[in-house]
Amino acid sequence: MLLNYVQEPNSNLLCCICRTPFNEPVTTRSCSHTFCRDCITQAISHARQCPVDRSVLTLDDLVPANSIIRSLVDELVVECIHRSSGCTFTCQRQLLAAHVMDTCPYRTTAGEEIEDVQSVPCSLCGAEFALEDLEEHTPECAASTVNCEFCTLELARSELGSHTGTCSAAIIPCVQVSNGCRWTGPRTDLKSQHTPSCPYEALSGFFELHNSKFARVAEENLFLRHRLEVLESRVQTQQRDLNSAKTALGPWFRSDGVYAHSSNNGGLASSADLPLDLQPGSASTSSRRYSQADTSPTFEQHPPDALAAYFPAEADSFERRPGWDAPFGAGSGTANSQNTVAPLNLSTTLEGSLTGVRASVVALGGAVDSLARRSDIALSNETRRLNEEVMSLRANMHGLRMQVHAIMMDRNAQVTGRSGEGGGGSNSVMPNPMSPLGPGDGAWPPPARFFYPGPGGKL
Amino acid sequence: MASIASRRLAKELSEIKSEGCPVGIKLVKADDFATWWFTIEVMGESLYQSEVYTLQFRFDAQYPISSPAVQFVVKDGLEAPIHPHVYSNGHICASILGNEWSPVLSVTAVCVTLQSMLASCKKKERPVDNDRYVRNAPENPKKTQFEYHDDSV
Ligand SMILES: [Zn+2]
Ligand SMILES: [Zn+2]
Ligand SMILES: [Zn+2]
Ligand SMILES: [Zn+2]
Ligand SMILES: [Zn+2]
Ligand SMILES: [Zn+2]
Repeated sequence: MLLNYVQEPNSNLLCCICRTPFNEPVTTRSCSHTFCRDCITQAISHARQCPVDRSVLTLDDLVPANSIIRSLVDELVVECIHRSSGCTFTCQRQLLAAHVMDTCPYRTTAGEEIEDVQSVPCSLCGAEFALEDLEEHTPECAASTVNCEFCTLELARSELGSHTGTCSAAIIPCVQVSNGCRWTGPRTDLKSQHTPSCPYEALSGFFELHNSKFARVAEENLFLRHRLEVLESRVQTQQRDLNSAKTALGPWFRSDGVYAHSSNNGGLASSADLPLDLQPGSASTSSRRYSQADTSPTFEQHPPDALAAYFPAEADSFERRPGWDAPFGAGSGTANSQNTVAPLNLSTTLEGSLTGVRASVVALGGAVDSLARRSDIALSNETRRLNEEVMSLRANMHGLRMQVHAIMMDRNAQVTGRSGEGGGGSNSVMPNPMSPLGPGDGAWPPPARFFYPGPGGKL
Repeated sequence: MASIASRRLAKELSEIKSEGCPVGIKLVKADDFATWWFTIEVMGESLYQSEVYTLQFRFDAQYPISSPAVQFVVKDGLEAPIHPHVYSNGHICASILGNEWSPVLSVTAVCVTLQSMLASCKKKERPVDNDRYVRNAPENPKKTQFEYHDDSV
């Protein structure tokens, strides 16, 4: 029995199979679950198990439910099954059958079965419905017939959609409605009457052109917008990079031109100043460059003259003494290779550049060191040579003095011959060999015998 | 007895409409008591994240004594989820739709069970016998005698 209950029944009174209050409730002996007799009978015929706990169940396990349950469901208040027809009678469920059969004004035949009233097939599509559901179904049944609202043709509901699309009487807008034509009218009139006179139709070529142009522009706009987005995101990325670079640079970052200027001067950043390595033989150039770097703002922390004082001197020594290298042929090669400094790698971080600069400075220190050593050696060599020269000069001087002495002795002998003879006879032995004596004489230095002082002991 | 089926379905439908479906399940259409459509989406972390599938329920006059015919809809661009228990024609190998069906179960209970079946899936793959099954499969999945795979997957 399918009934409408006036109040929502207590959920404990609902059969879990049909979800309505128990009808002829029975309880299972084995697991004490309660169902409508019909429900559980059908369920067991389908599967021999309790629908709730799946324990094995047969018809023999069913016993009538507790009388309290039975009376509770029997006393639920229900509506008359002819409510949809107009009967508003309500009563306890157990009394309804009497009403329907005997007193209901809407009863049809005396022997009417309650359930038969409830299930009615749709006369159009054949699907079965509860009576009240059928009333809802009929107006929307796909098989029901409807009239076309334009040509009044009768068709199945399911065909209405396709018919409206082709119905010659259907009211449709002009094909140019998208361009602004306000005309609406029956489909038959469109081609025959409106289209020839439609001002928009006459311009259809223009509209097409315009639309395609507009579409192109819209497309381009979309493309440009996309590019703009890409560029914006790129700018944002660069901004981020710049900011992180700023943070990394810290006090090194200068927003004005000072940094660029100083780096140009100092040869730190500008590739135009490269190569930064000291080419062999370009020592003076490199030294000038370093002097400039020393005076540039970037190197403020160094004493400006600390190295500058050395380099001009070094350069001078190179220039003034072109032959200076000659005695140090091997050494000069070494010196040049020491002067070669790796170029500053500007693609690395500031730290990298600083490291590079530091390496250059260290190499420079090494170069200065070796220069000092070479200067030492050159100096001592020079001193030795000067010594030798002084010695030979002294020897020449001595020779000259002896010669002068000899000449003087001759003069003395000529002027005071007698006294000379008387004074020392030994001098008469000496002939006259002094006459050919001159600066170009190969016998120089003079023979030792001339050096002996005369007996006069006077020089 | 057809009326019991429609009455019970009417009851389920009114409950769905008044209380709503469980999370991730939506009623698409229930124009009659023969065929209902639901969309089902696995909520939370799973292999089927943000994928929505459509379930079709077909009821016969024996419902709820006999189980509904449940399958995923695989037409008009809709597809069945790739799952070891779901064939590419939408048929589902789940014991709850076969020998473990109970009249106590309901449409939403089936939806929730299938939802958790998807949610617990660890690897997206078709059943091993998919091609063979789909070639000879009956139109109604209830006519298939599935050998149920282990439920751990
Ligand atoms: Zn039980
Ligand atoms: Zn029942
Ligand atoms: Zn009545
Ligand atoms: Zn119908
Ligand atoms: Zn028409
Ligand atoms: Zn027009």
